[in-house]
Amino acid sequence: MIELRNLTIKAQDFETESLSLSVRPGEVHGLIGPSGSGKTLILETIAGLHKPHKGNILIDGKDITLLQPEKRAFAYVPQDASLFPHLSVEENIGYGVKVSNKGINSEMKDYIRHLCERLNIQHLLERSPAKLSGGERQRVTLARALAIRPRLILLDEPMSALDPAIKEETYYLFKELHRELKFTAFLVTHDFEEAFFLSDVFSILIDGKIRQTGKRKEVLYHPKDIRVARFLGVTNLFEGYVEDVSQDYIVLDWRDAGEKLVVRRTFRDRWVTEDTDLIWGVRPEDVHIIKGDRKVSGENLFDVNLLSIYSGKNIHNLVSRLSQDGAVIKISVRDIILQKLGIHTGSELQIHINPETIILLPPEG
Amino acid sequence: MKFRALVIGCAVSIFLLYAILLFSLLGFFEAGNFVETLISRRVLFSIRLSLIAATIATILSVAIGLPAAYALSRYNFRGKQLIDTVLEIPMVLSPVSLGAVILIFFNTNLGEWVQNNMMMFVFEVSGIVLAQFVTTAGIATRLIKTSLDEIPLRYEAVARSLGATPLKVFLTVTIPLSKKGIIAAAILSWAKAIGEFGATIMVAGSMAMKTETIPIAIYMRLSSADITGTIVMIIILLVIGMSVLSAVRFLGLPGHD
Repeated sequence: MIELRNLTIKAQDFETESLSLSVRPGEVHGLIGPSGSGKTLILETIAGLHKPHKGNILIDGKDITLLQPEKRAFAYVPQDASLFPHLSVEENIGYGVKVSNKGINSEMKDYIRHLCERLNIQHLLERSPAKLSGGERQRVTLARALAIRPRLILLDEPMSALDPAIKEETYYLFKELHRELKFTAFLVTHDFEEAFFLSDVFSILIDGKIRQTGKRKEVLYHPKDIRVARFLGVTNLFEGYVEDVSQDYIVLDWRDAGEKLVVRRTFRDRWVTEDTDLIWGVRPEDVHIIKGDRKVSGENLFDVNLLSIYSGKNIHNLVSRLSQDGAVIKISVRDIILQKLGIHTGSELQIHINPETIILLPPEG
Repeated sequence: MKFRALVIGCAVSIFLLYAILLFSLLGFFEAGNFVETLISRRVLFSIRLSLIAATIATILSVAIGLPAAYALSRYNFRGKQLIDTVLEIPMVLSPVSLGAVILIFFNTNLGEWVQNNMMMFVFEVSGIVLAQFVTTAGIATRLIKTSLDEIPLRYEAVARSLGATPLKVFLTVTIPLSKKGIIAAAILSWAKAIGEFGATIMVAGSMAMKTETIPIAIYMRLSSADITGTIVMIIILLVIGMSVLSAVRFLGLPGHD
């Protein structure tokens, strides 16, 4: 297991708070943070390329904070692949084995051949890196990193520069390879898609501080605070008052709307007590428009007026208002749904918020 | 249009300046004497001495300049700024002054000790190499550093993470990636060394068949009113210099597009 224990990193105009996290063997741990949040610096520190100000890095309990990068066996994969331009693809892949004086025995040759086959790069071995496409470069970089059988692969936004189609293909390849080889990886990225596709566990880094660590559902539906929630796309955030707490449900008074809201209670909501204020939120994609002109009655149903529509490639972002001066709710709908609904700016809609998708957060401050 | 004509006019006038100066040599050119002088023992000695001294000085400059440039390019250490400034000395100080400084050094206790216990430099061939080395080492280091600065650090970071020690990274990644820059620095240092006069004459003097490099031969022949001999030596220096610079262009090396 690789552990960061109370690690503080200082650079010219940047300083992290005390960072602690652990990466279990065979796990892909994704550190997600906005640009400029110090992700690359953290990665370089783990790689041994930057000295931490305080704290420790441990492998299976053994302190390696001051160990030279070449002795850590942490293969670093930077953003832009960084294949050595003066070496062929084959020489790039064999570089780590060659410089570490381990010698390429027949077992190693078989392993590298297998890697090349799995990554579909066996036909590129004689080529120069300059003659590879973006996807090919990324696959060769992965082979080069895996060839040394590293304890940990450090990935810095590995696929952010790829075209969408190539990116998805490379995600699948990475996942398949991970399933087979069960390597341990630490990924830093600002791209949610990349993080959620590739990682098993996520840490959220904002302003040099790890705000939360957890698995997919935990991070997505139980963000620790408003900053994490906002960062993870919870753009509908409102004030609420807890009226009732039962075994399975929580009833909120939606302050801005003067309406009641029912929330599914999970063990992570144990901190919620009756007669207290809190913040609740819901992702735009978790707000559903009720089809048809006939109004439906039930819990978490609200009437809204559609103010504007902002269209993306497949997704339309709708801005709606609850009543004349009420709360503004953002809704995301897919292209095909919008066409079926036949709605336009000014339409009166009925929306439903699923109790399972409501996020409860402690009030700010 | 006026601006275009003005700047092209400036370019042409620079060409004319050098063309007229070189053309003036033809007035004193005698083909018969030219060949005879060219193949004389003394001229061949000067050519050989210049080539050998400039080559040794260049090898020494690159040998020390390459690691020094790497240190200045990659590491932060106390006195780095001072060293970086000192590299400019051969450019700021005229070669004669640099030669005078070397000569004065050999009159100090340390200089005398060096001469008595290690190697004689003053009025010796080794003095030529030393003078050329002193005038080119700073420039070679500066040129190599510029080339090293252009290599993205991530290549070295990746190499280390793959198991290469700093020395292996230097040998297997840094040097191959900056090969063109290093060769260009070596060629330009060599061109400067072979044309070096001021520092050489101060340290090694002007002794025929001993310390008579091509530039010193030009000075000695002109002093004795041997115009044909002077022109022969100038042409030799010109051919060597232009060939070297053409080689830089031919190899597509940085600094000379």
